[in-house]
Amino acid sequence: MFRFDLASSLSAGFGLVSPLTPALSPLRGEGEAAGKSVGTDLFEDHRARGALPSPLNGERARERGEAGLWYRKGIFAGGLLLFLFLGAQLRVVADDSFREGAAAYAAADYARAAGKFREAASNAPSSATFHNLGNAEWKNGRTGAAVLAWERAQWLDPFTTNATASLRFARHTAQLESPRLAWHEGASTWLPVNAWPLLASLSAWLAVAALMLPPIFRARRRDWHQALAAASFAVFLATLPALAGVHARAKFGVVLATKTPLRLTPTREGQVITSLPAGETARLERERGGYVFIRAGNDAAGWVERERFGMICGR
Amino acid sequence: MIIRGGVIQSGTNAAPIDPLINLMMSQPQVETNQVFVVAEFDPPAVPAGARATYRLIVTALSETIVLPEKLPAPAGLRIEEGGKAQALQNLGSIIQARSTYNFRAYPAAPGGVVMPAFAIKVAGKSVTVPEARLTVLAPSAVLVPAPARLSLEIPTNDIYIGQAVAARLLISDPGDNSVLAMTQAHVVGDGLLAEGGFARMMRQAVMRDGRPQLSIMSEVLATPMREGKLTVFGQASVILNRGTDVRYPTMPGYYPLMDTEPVTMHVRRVPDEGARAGFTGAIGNFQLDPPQLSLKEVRAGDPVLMQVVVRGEGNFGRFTPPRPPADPDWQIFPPSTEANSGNQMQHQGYAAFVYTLIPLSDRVRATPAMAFSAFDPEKKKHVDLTIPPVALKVTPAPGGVRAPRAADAADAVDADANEPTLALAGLMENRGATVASLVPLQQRGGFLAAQLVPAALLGGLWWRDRRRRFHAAHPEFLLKRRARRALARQRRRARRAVATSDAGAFVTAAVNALRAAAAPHTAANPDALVCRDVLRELPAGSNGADSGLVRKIFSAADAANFTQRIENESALLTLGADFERVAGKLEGRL
Repeated sequence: MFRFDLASSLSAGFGLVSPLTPALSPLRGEGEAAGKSVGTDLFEDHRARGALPSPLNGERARERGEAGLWYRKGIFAGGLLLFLFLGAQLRVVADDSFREGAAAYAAADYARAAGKFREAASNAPSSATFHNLGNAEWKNGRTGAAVLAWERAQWLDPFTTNATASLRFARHTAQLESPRLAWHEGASTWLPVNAWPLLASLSAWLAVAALMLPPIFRARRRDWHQALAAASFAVFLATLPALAGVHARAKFGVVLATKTPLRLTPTREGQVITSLPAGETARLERERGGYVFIRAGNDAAGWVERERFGMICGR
Repeated sequence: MIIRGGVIQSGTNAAPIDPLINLMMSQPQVETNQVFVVAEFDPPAVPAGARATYRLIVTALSETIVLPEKLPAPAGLRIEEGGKAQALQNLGSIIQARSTYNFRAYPAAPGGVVMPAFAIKVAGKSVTVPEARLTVLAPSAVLVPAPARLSLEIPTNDIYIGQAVAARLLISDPGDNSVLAMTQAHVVGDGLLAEGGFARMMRQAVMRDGRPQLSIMSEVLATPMREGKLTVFGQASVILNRGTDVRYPTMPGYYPLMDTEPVTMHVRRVPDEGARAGFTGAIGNFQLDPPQLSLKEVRAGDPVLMQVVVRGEGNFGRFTPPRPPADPDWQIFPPSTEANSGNQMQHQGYAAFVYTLIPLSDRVRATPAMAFSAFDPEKKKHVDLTIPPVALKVTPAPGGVRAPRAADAADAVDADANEPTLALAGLMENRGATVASLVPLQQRGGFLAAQLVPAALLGGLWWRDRRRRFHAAHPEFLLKRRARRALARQRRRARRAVATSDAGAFVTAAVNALRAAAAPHTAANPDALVCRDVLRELPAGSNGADSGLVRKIFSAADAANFTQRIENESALLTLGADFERVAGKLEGRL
């Protein structure tokens, strides 16, 4: 979804007219149908009216400019095509890995299944892929990696009941606590994490547009203009706590290794305060070198090695 | 250091001796030099077919004694192996070890039976066992007084592996009060574990041969350890008031060892049918007291003790306490018990376990239920003895906040029962929608940059509208700008015409330039202006030469328009510099 948005945004942002989208350029389409370019057509019209002198040197320059413009458009269109092609190839590879992972899981080859699902998640992350990866890791006995994968599945899609059930099962089995969320963090789980910024952006610009566009286009201000602006602004305000919640939840991570020592200082010789079990969810507070300072659910805080702590948001 | 007679004497320069070692070395030694052997039949006369005991007593440690594999029993005498025991008797300066071997002897026919002398090995040396004589009476003969006899009472059927069975050893008094007591009561058998430390002795009247007899009874706890038929017998040392010192002059204070006839027990395995959770080997008729908590209210993270008491009859010393369940809200340590051993627990008749529980969350309302069950051998079925939850108030830990409660119900037990069954969810068949990254959109630079697009669009529209409104309010700005552009364009054409010596083009461009420069001040179309209009708009500092130049240019332009001919072209082309000066003055007003 985002890739599509990004491509659209890039096209619209640079104001380019791609050959792939002729419908966006009706004027150009008519010109081509008449067998001449738009620019040439306009020059000829002016010359026929006698308003322009003989266009000898000026027209050559304009033709050179036109050629350069079309050259640049071609490069961009080629780049865009290459971008879309590579994206499609990644999706194909991810599809294959997903299917191979499911087959390996059915054959009880959980190590291979985990590898394939991990490859699929790396190429094209999705909630279902992370859920399957969690199952394979759990079967491999890697509780920390399994909990991290299921948390990521929930991160992308909070409505996935499978990952929720598996997480509840794993935490009950391994005697792990669920992370305690603040109210705004809990509110941010009502929608997928990427839905909140999109909703906030859409509502904010819609409110601004509803206020600005009528006078710009010399239309009479109507009640529904005001209502639309107010409603959009209200939606925007409502998304702010959830945005803050997503920002806070982006600092959650999962302890990957069993009996991970929680140290008082970010050094290998640091005093060990306690040991954290694999799958424990903790909040990252700061980083230093190869260590991260985390706070676990029981308020135990200390430094752990960075590679023993996996961030849910993948940073 | 010199050792003399078992006493350590320290020299003047010797190191001080450990008092404990000194005390140990000062104890009497076990006598090993003199070995006495006594062989006898007890009683010395029995009816044919009745049982007598062939008793062999050796004053040596049993570990040093080697008996022949088969005793040289004479014909007509059946010998079976019986009990054996060892005792140490303190005789003042020495300790005498006494090993007793009993053999059950059954003579076949009346007469005399002589057990011949034979050799045994004691500490590697050969020692001769003297002969012993047994008088065999007619089978119908009755011994008066009846000899003291040891008997065993033990359940033989419906016994289960691990069940604690009470065995009673009885010795009846022949009626002359000669039996005083019994010691070292024991039940012996392959596959049977008898608790040596648990033996209760009492004196009571027991009906025997239809009449009451005063008997000494000792109770021994036995536990069968394997399935099938077990052959067991009891043994004990009996203290008699008859002068045993006379019978055993070389073994003062010796109490003869007696054993019983063997008994066969039929042992079964605890059935699996109907087995319940939490079975840890408890067999018997048990009851559970309500669990007691040391505190009614506790903070999350602080320990609380829970005592569980099991009462009734059964193998208290054999079963293990129920294991605490795995509960994410609790940290539960294995239980401890006040009793030092299973024997003590068996003796006191109940088992008490103390669990240490630590609530990890203030969400809990009660202790977790602990599965526990026992097998009742009388009812022949498993009985549920689950330890019930106990209500407990848990407050948040210091600095913590109260955890959200799933339900406001006070019965946490029901809440646990209503929890859905937890299981690993199955695989997803379809990959579903994908994303580019796990990083939230709001933290990506691309998304933030994309916000510039609507901002630029709306900003551009706003700026365009603002400019439109400004031009509507001040049209002169637009006219003057257009005039400046037209003037610049016509001046370029005029210069080009001068350069190419095209007088007609020069005149046309010059007239158009003058009209365009003057038009904003007259609010008229530039094409509609005539020479007089342009002269009127000349700047105030203009002289007659400027006016003359304007007239010349307009006159030449009119002539070219109406006569299609231009005269004196070279003179017109020389006016280029003057035209630039006048055009500059007009441009200054725009």
